Amino acid sequence: MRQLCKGNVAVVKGAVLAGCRAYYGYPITPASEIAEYASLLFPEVGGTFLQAESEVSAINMVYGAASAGVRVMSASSGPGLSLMQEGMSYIAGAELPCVIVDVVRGGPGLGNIAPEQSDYFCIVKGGGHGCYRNIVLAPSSVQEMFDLTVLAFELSDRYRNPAVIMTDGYVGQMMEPLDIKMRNIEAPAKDWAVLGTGESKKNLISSIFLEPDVLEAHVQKLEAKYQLAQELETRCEEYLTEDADVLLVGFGIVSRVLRSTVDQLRAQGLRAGLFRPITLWPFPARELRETAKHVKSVMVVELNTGMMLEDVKLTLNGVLPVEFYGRAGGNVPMAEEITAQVFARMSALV
Amino acid sequence: MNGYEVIHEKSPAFYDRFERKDELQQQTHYCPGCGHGVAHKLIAEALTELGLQDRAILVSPVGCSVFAY
Repeated sequence: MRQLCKGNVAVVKGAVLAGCRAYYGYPITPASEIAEYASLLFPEVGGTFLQAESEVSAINMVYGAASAGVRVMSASSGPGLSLMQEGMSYIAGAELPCVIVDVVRGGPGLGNIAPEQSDYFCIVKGGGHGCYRNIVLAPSSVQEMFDLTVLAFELSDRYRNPAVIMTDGYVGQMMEPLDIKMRNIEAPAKDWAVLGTGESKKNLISSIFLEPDVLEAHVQKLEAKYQLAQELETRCEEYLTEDADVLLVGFGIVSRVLRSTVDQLRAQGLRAGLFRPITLWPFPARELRETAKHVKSVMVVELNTGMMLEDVKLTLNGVLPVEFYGRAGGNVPMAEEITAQVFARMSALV
Repeated sequence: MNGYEVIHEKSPAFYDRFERKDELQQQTHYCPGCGHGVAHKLIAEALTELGLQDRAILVSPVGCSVFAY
């Protein structure tokens, strides 16, 4: 089923196809279409849409619904995600699945409503307290807004952990062809859920472990899950990397621009390639290290002042020079601009 | 006490014995004289009276009664 669709709307379609039947949220530009479309679609499929009085309430409603074993989601942008961090830490601590969408806008503070990728630290490194991780997927197209939302529900159930779709105002607002392949998606049985029935009466959802040894064991149990996710769930896309001398690294909307940059650079005789992390956590470190073996240098491009840059540097551990170019405030660089930046750094890059 | 029914037995909404998490076996919820336990008892009795026992989910708050279960 092919259709013209907006990124934010594609998220809701993906969620409904994935069996999500509960949405709690609070609207915010540039994520509002998610709440708007969810308010139309969820009641139609027998689900629940509820506009909370704040993002703090919304995330705790998500916590409650996840405890009851239903597939549940919320969506917001920068400031709303800041408010949700406490709840996300609780949800991760209580080992509950849920999907949160962050259509990143300019920050810090109120910033503006134009696209940035500046929530990377907050979402990927965990803005909440304690030893937990979010599974983070970074779509770069409307099609991926749909596909990765479905995947996010599957991963969050598999690992009983929050999964975040981290995208930006551009991908959320743009309209592109969306191809929906209907398939039967069944959520796993959740015998741990509190259902308000006799059978589930003794089930307990909690993130409190007062004894140090018991909490440590719990944290190690979470960590073992995260190690497994790092082993199994990394995803990335590569473009013309086989013979590349210069490797451009970018995610989300930037990766779309970088694709054109690679073409421009190659037209001018520089062998460039693109590495795009699809999972920001777990970061595709193994894949990046493998690809980087054959390149001379790396340049990271982001809509922030250098956040994923840190993960790229950690991954490469000093074996290659890593350059950075970033824009902020809602400015997205043109391919020509990045091409010029690459040539301006030629001495450092090749 | 006129007009009051004094109940001396434990509400059937309470388990005879609740297998608590290991770390809670040696801990008590409340200090001597604390009224929280009475509140739990009243909630349990109301649940039984209204027949809601198998249709209820208890959400415990922060603070001492976080261990309401």
